[in-house]
Amino acid sequence: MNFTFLSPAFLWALPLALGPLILHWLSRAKPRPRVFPSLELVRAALKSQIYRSRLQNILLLIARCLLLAALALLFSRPMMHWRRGGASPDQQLSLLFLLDVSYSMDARSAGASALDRARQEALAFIDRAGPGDRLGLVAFSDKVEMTLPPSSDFEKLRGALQNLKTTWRPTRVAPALEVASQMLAGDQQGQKAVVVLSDLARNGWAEILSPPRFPAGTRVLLKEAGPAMSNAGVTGLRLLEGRAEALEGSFTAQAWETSGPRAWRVSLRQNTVAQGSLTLPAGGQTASAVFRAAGKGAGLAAGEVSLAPDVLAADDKFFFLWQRPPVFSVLVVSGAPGLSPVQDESFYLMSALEELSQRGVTARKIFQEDLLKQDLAAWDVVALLNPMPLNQQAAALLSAHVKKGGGLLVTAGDNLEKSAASLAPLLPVRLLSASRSREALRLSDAAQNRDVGRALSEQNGFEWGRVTLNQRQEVEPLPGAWPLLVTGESGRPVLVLRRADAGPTAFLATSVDRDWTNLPAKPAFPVLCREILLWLAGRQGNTGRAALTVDQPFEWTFPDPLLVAVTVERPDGFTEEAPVRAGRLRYDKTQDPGVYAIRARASQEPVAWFAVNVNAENGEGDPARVSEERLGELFPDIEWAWVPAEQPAVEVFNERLRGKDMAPLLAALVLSFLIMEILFSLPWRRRETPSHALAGEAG
Amino acid sequence: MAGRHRSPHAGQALEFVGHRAYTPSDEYRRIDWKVFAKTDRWVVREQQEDTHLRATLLIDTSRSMDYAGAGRLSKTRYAGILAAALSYLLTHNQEAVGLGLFNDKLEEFFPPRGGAAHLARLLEVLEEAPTGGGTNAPAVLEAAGQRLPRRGLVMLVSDFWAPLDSLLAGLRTLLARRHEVAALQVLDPDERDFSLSGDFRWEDLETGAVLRADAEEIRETYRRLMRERQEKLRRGLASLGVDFYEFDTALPLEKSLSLFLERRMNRG
Repeated sequence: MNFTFLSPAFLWALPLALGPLILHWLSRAKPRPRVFPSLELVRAALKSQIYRSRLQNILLLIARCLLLAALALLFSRPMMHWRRGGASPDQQLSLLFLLDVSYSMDARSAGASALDRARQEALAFIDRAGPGDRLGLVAFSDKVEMTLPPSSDFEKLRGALQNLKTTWRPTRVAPALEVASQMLAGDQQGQKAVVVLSDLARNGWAEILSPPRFPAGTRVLLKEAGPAMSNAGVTGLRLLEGRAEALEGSFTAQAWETSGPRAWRVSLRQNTVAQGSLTLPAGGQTASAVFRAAGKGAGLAAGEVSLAPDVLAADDKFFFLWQRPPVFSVLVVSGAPGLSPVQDESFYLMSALEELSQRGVTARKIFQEDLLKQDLAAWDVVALLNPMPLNQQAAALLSAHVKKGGGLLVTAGDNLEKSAASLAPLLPVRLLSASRSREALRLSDAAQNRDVGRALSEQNGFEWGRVTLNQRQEVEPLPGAWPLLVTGESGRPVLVLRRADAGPTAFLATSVDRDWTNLPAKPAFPVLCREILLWLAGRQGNTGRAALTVDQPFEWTFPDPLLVAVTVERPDGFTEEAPVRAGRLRYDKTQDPGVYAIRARASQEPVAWFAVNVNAENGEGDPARVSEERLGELFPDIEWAWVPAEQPAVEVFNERLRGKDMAPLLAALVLSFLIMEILFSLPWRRRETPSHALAGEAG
Repeated sequence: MAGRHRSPHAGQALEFVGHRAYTPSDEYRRIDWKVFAKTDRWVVREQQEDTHLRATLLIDTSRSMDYAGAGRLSKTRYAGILAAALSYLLTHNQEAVGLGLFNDKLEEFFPPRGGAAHLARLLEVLEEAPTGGGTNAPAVLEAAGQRLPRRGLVMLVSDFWAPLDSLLAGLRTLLARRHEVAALQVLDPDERDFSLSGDFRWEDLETGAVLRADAEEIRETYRRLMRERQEKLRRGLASLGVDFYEFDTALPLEKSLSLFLERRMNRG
């Protein structure tokens, strides 16, 4: 410990503390002579009193000396410092607040969030700042959110503090420490200090690889912005896709510093569709719950899984988008029945459709001769497989079906040569000759930008190169038609789609049996069938969706190349325009969790949705504090101090930096010595009233 | 003390006036056996006869009596004036008054007589009474008793700083001679109240002993000891049947004298 004095001139008064001693010695040096009739009682009294009175006198003398010494010290204003190098009063201070605005700072207790408390701590520092002090601010989450270099403009700093809000980002202190060290490095004079106002959750301190390079002599104060509180949050969600009749899935949750049952609910389109209770184990272990709810309505729906609210609401919800599979019907018309079902042209397609039947696809196979008996209006798509030549009535029937918006799929085969003429008005291609060549398939470049192509391209691991054609129909796409599948080397179209005024049509330039290709035997075949039929049925999910975390950009390619801007509807209800370049949107203002909707101009229904959630996997919900050992590793050569939640940081800081003001202690001592002076000055026995002669005394 | 008074002394064919405690000098025939039978107390019958008072004033002129507080008469002077006043009153009432001056011995003694010339002589002696020496109460009182062949009133005027035991022993010798004794204590307020302040080198007026003490430090204890001593003195004198009167040199003498005479009159 060492001391500094704010008014050292008063130390010259310290020798006055010897005054009572000197006066006492002087007064006792020469006692006055006095005669007395008899010293009998004087001697007896002296003998009886001497020790007690001497002790009283000694104590009185000591109290007087100490009183004067304490007064001199009190006026000299001593400051006690715990460590070396305490700031002298004339040294100005450059102080940076590192204020945590991650979403864990939204944890609330007693009506205030951790950020509220941190803000109040910073304001307290400003109130106690000296005239030459300079204060600055670095607000941070997992990145630096805003900076305010140290200055004496306290009003500006107050304004910045008042406007701060928590973000939805987790904590990472490293960038803030780096910025702080750079800001302080440029400061040439005065004492330097960094005050970290944070919940000091350990997750934010784990990734710091090297200690910050603060200037020598910088002091660091770490103020815990609020008490550590228990918390639980949803950490993930998994939906079972393709279930047409029900919303099914499971979610995981995690609890820290608590355990026990926690109520949850699942809502879809803001209606609760499932609820229950989940027992969360202690120690941060995850638990999961399964839910199932009847899905209502078609298309895409926004939903959320939510736990019963606790101190930190940010991680109690998880947003999701549920695409209810579209329901449609396919009439499969087989032009080549075959001698056995396996040999039937439609065998592989019907097998694929049977697999899809659980996903809302209704399929029925007929032979071509029964086509005229059908009411095609009841079918979304008609698939002509290797058709025989069509008569007029059949052609007219199919033409009417297409004109009414129904989808038509025609596949090639041995019969195509004969039926080409009757089919020509219905096809999206001009038929050329058949050819035999062995080539592999691939998705066309144009397919990458199409929803149907995207669905096929998401079949990870499928190697289109293993799909080979032995025989094919050469075609030339008509205007407005585009190939989905092409051959590998030559790029000649194999599957062409066209959506004209008449309706959607598709032509497969190979067979759907294994006569001309091994495509039907590949695992992508059912997916290919489904996507083509969806497209033909007009149920193609051209509504995009994505699951993102905060700050992750949303990227989407729109089928309309002429689209130049879209409207983004944000979770907070605000909408804004976002540019689309070459049919591609990149939207990166995803700092708020919730469901975002993308609408094309003049479009009522969103063309894309995406759900943004906080990244709960980084442990931001864990309230456990960073350890002092870890802080010691980070600040090996820096004087630092941890201030717990219940202690005001500014008091500790002033004590650490400027020293502990001893004035209150000295004032208490002065008062104590004054009381001692009074007590020891009083006679130790009750004063006797002098007696008077004769008045009732003689016996 | 004005006019004739009744004597407490016993005599034949005298009127019974009361009982008093037995003393070894009393004759057994005077013991009231009836009272003893009832109370187990030894008392003698008192009778009275009209007689002239024979009073003797014994004035302490030891050095301790020389003390005078600030602005006050010395005790010697005070005692002298008191004795002079009493002498005048007694003589004026046709009583006989004697005088003795003593310290550690009876320095001067004038047997009780009446008359103006005797009074003038006593006043002259009192005026010139020197002080000095210590105090030896037993010897002085024994000598005084011998110089007083007839019973009478002996008024002892002193500060009574002598050891109490020896004082009481001396008084007993006087009482044995069947004198009536009254003790008149003259003290300065400094002795009684000790309201002095300061660090002093104290000197005993009689012994010359010196010691150093702070008056404030010992004040309360001195007062307590003084009270105890006074109480012991009163009890001792009361046990001997000696009336005790206290005089304070701070009080005007006429007031003190008036109170004294009133008490004597009430005593009968």
